[in-house]
Amino acid sequence: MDPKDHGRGHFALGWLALALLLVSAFAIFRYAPLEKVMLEVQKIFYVHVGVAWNAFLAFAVVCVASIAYLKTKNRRWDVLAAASAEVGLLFTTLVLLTGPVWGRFAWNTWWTWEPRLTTTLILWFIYVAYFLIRSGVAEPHRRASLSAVFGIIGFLDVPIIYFSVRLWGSHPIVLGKGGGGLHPMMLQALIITVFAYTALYVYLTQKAMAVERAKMELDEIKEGLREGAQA
Amino acid sequence: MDQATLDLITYRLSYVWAAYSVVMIGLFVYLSTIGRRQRKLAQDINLLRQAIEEKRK
Repeated sequence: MDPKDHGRGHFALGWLALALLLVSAFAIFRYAPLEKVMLEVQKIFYVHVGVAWNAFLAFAVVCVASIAYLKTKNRRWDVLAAASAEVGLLFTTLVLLTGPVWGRFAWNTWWTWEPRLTTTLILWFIYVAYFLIRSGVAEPHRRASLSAVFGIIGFLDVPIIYFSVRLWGSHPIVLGKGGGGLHPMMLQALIITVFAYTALYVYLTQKAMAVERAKMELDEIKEGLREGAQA
Repeated sequence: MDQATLDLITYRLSYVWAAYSVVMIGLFVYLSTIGRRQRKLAQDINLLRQAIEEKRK
């Protein structure tokens, strides 16, 4: 967390995210009561949902920024989309890693081709492909346009993941219609955890945006050199 | 609390420890790689700028 990199706001956000993560750890392990069936293993639920919710938020930001880029052709939107996609991909990876740990205890298997798990894995592949496109196209505006289209199409998988469990799945539903519900203290711990990971998402996205901006600057210098060589 | 109960609690906690470790390691690895990428890009930009300046002179 170097204050020279992005300004004081970013520095403060880093500390806020860290403080919220510590508060969330206290809420999960000391405040929230033990669930009656899964006992201690249910504690995985908080971090799993925290990162999953923010992965969806990240891909929603990718979708909105991609639409804005296609409308305005302003590369700042592409920078935001790429940064958010990177953090979204990281969070989806964490969802796909923490879920099986819970599943091993609850279902006695690390993986099952259950609709929510399968559609989440598809989401992960979609955003891996998003970065393959970005690394495969050299011309900046073409790269931005192609990845914007892919970012918008990729986001269509998010509502499919959400509804898959309600339509076909065996994945547990806790909140919302058909859900088992949560003890108020568990819900409070979950809300704190979601907020903590949201602060972390914003912090990491700002960091990733700084990298994307540096790449853009490098592209511009190289472009200038190419034009200078041709003249 | 008897030994069997303690063993069961330890067994269940090993899952919790595994899940939270995965998240913490994942975040730490990402933060360190993003920092390295940022430093490398800043270095490349500075080198190119210096090369351009020297060419102008």
